[in-house]
Amino acid sequence: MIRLSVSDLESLRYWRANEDADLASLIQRLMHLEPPTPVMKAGRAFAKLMENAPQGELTEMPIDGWVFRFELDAELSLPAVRELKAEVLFETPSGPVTLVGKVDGLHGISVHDQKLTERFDAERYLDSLQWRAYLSMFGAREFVYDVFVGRYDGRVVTINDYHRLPFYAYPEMRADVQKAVDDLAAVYMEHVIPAAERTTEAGAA
Amino acid sequence: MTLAAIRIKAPRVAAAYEIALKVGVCEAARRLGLHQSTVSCHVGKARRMLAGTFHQRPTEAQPARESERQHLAGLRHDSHTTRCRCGLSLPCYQCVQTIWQAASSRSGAAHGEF
Repeated sequence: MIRLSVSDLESLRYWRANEDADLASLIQRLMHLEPPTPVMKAGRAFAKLMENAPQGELTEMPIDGWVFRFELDAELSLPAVRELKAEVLFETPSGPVTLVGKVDGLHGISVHDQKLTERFDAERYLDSLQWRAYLSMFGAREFVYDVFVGRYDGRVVTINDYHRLPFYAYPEMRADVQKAVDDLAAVYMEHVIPAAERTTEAGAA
Repeated sequence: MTLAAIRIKAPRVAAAYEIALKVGVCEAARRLGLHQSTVSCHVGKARRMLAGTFHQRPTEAQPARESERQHLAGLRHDSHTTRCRCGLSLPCYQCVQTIWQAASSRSGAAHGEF
């Protein structure tokens, strides 16, 4: 049984869209060997902040060595159900695949995901397989990106803008996700598993 | 109140009935982080609204006109009901949409608020 994540689907899509990216970088990413960048670490800290955010006003919050300052006037409804994992089985030509993922929030048939970015670019999210996969996995109708725009000053992130970006389920969405899982499973069988075996053998030698 | 801040609010649960209709009361309660009885309460409100016996605002809680009551009652035939996973019979989504629209135009309430 192959176990793949929604992030892996995005890694393959991103790699295909980037002509300069070589196969080695994709394999490394799918093997989860890349160390997290400071931006990724900040994103994780921010996700943790949102997961535990209480009701009320939030102006500044230190968490995991980062400080998030909110210099904006906005209201946000956070779902009561936060950080929810899901697994769905897909049958593919490469064998059965368990697709795993975790959403930041679930409110009925709406899925929420918080993003921290330095520049808001709506089109960046449009082609994403993330919202398609999660809508399919949770049987949901709406996927909302809560996009926070911030600027970095060392380990202080000042958030000065917020965008709510919703996407909706559409008729052939499940087929699109199935196709993406099929493609990823084929890449995984052909490239990632042999690379992992080589790494194991080299370690044992 | 601080000017530059983000205010975290509890989510609206007004859509609980609609969600319950699609995924069942038990599943809706799980997905909304609510107790089943809370979701059932919203379902009950929706059903009373369907029967013309629930009004959005107390000041406008006048009895519906007889013709309107009959119209509303006429929507409650068996073909417009569905059954939740937990066995609770619920009126169909289309009917409630119709009632919401009628209620909203009377009271000025936002669609889906109840």
